[in-house]
Amino acid sequence: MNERLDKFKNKLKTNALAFCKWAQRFFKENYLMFGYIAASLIIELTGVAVTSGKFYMTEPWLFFTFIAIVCLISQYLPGHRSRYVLFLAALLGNFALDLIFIIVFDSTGGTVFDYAMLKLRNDAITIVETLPFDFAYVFVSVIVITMYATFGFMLTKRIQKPNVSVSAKITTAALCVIALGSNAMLAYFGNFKNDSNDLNYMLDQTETGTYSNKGIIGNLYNELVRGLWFSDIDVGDISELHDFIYASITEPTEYFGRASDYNVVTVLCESFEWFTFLYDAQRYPNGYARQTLESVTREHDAQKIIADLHTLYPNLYRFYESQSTVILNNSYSLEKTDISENKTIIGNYPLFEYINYAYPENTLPYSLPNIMRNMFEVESNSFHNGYKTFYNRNIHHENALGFKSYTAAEDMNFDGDDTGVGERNLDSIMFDTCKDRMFPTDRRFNTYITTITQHGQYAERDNLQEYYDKLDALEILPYDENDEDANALRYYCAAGMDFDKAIGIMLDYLDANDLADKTLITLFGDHNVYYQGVSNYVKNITGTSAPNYCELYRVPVMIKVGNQSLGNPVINKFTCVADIYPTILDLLGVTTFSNLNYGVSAFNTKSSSILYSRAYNKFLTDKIYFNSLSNILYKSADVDEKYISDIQKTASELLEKISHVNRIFASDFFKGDNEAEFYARLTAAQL
Amino acid sequence: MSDTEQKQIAETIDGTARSPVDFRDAYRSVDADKKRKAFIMLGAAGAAMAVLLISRLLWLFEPLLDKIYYGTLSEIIYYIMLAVLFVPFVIGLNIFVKRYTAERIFLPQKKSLSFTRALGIITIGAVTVFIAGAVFDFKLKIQLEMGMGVTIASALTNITVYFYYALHLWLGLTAAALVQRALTVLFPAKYEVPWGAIFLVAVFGITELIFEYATTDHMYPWLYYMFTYAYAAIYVLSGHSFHLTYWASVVILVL
Repeated sequence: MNERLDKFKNKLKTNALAFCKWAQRFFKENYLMFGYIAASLIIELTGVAVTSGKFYMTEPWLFFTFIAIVCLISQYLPGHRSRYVLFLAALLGNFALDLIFIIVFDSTGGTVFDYAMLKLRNDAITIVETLPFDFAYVFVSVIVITMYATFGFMLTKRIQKPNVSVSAKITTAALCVIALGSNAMLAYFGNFKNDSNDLNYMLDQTETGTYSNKGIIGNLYNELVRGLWFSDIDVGDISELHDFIYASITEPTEYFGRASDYNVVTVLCESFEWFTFLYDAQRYPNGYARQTLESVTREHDAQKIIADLHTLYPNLYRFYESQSTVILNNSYSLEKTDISENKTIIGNYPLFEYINYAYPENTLPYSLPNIMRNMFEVESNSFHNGYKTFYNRNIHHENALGFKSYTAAEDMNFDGDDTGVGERNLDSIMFDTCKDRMFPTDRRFNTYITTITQHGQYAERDNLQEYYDKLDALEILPYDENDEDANALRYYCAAGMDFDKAIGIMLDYLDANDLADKTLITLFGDHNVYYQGVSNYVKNITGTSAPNYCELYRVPVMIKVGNQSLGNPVINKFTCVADIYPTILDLLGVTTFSNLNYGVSAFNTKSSSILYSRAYNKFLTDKIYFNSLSNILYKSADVDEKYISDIQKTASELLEKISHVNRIFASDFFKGDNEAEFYARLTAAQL
Repeated sequence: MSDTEQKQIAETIDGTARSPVDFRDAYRSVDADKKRKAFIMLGAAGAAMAVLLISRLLWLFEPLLDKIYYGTLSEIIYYIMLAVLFVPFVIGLNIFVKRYTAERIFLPQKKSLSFTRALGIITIGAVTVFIAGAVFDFKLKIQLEMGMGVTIASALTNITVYFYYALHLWLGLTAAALVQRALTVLFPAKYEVPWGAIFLVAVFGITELIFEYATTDHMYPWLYYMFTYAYAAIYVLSGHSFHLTYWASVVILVL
């Protein structure tokens, strides 16, 4: 018995020694490989850290399979020199890919790559406005790669020759199969759970909406797999979809029909924020209030600055303080311009796609222009002083949204077209040049205007010089060569002064032509000023631990209802960009199908919406900001379990609408007879 | 000649000279043919510096460049003209030096670098980039030179300035390599004097600093002068390897 045990022990010892010897040899032969693994991990984790603030990944498995595949390929190469080249190329590829997506993340206010971005075509490069290289990422990665390149090259001549025997190749082949299989399985099961007909999984998902889940490379690969093989939307039961659309209608509010028969003007004000023209020391400590807070010897005080702001922005104040204007004081937007634009024209937006590119020819009878044309025989026109083809608007606006025409900068024939020379066109010139087409006097009209002057980036622009002079004359937001943030705000506010001039041109023209009485005008900010972190700076909000993180996305919405004496009401309930469309229809006295609307009328006192950001994959109200309910990024102190429970219900209802809207777009549901039925049912709903 | 003087000359010849007086004696000890070649190399270095300075006169063509395309594109055309001037010059210089001195300034070194020296070079690079980043509040210098708040088109035009810096560094380092070899020949010593490094800092660096301020509106001439200390240190640590110094320096000047 003992003899057998000793024999077994000896055998075990021999095998263990042999294994140790093999492992030692394997390690020595593969210094390059282990160096590559370490370097690749450091580069990837640094990329994750600078985008999400976490130096780890919760689901690194896809990334690991890529490392494994590179390592296993190297085992087929006969010499260290060729392996060195392979590893170095892989590291450089890793670095370059990570850098690209970090730049996209930083320059777009935190957008994580998703497959639909590939459909942005050449607009993608324009959306990435600057190339912000992250110092920490570049610094760490360059050092790591340099060290690997240097020491790896030295080692190629000094380490023992690799083992490329047949048995080693067989083992490698087997491991290759395992790595590739794992990769395919992870990609498959990672996306299999995404059911386009039931999006409730989004409320429980572990995804953080940053790169801290799969890493940058893992996310890229996963998105490519999802986009190529898992993005088909199951249209499912058409009759169920039909019933869902017509299941309920909107409830009229006390403002219902206040603007019936009115002209409609909706102005998407690029990057418009309240702090463009308002003084508020609490909300905007680094805005105009900063001068009073820092002032010791200057004459400025709050009252003087407020008076000066009335001088600098006379038309915005004229609008803001009008008895006819309703102020949506607690309104939010967390989207890119194209999505905000669509949400205010059609009231919804599908998930997974950018509709300007994916569905530019779809039939959308519920768009405001189509409703205006078919219900009231009102012609709708769209204006934008940017490039004609940008966001594919030249096709989408006329074909899908139902505008009779889309006029872009190239069509306006105004003097001083600044597109293409690093500046932004002036809104005032657009309004002045196009005012007779925007606000025709011979018919009722629906006009949609998308401005551009306040668009980033914020640097000194020649065409804004008169506004810099005005600011300097009043000693407001002076240029400071040592403060880039303050200068960015200065340039932004100067652009706002041109926007103010544009609003003045519009109001004067409407007054002069007796149109003001019968025109409903909505001004709204499409998103906060994420360019150069101006919003973060002015609101002094950095990181989700800030006292009121949601405030970062609070933007202006002002609705002027002709010249009616409404008493300048202020609505303090939570509203968002999706509420603008139902609010306009409410004022026009149009009842619509509420399941097509992500929002509710701002005048609806019984219910509120929740904002789901397609661009950033986040849910937002004025009290809570989350990626999923298992990953709440911020909540205000007064959020309790009941509030969470209510939010869950509202978010579930919204997700149900989104899943149906996905199907509507994917199937072009309203094409053909369904369009006629929609108008018939809409007409019936008005009775 | 006294016995002491004879002893000093003997020490110089066998490479044991160490007092300042020995430089003169060391110089005397070099044979005429070597001296001639060394002076040719010094002349070539002078020519490189002259081309570097004269090339700035190309900006006199600015009104003409503006006629081709008004705007920042003029700079790109200027940089292309620099390349058109520098490349044939350096090729000609290399052929000239090779023919008249048998020196190959661009030939890669056979002696490989030790781990310690390699680590030293990486450390110098990392510390330099870190300090430069810290100066700019941990922003990459390239970011600032691209321009903050400008469009991608402007940014890409702005960073072509690195092409200009790289071309200048190429010529400057070529001159430094020639100076290193020439003065090492002219003043044989027990320990190699870092003539090339001194040249980079004291001649190339200072000249560039003055002319950058005088003739360009580049943002950080002072910083690029400070970088020459790093280039010089790398040149010494790399054992006067032209290629290693050049590429390591390019990484530093870009970042």
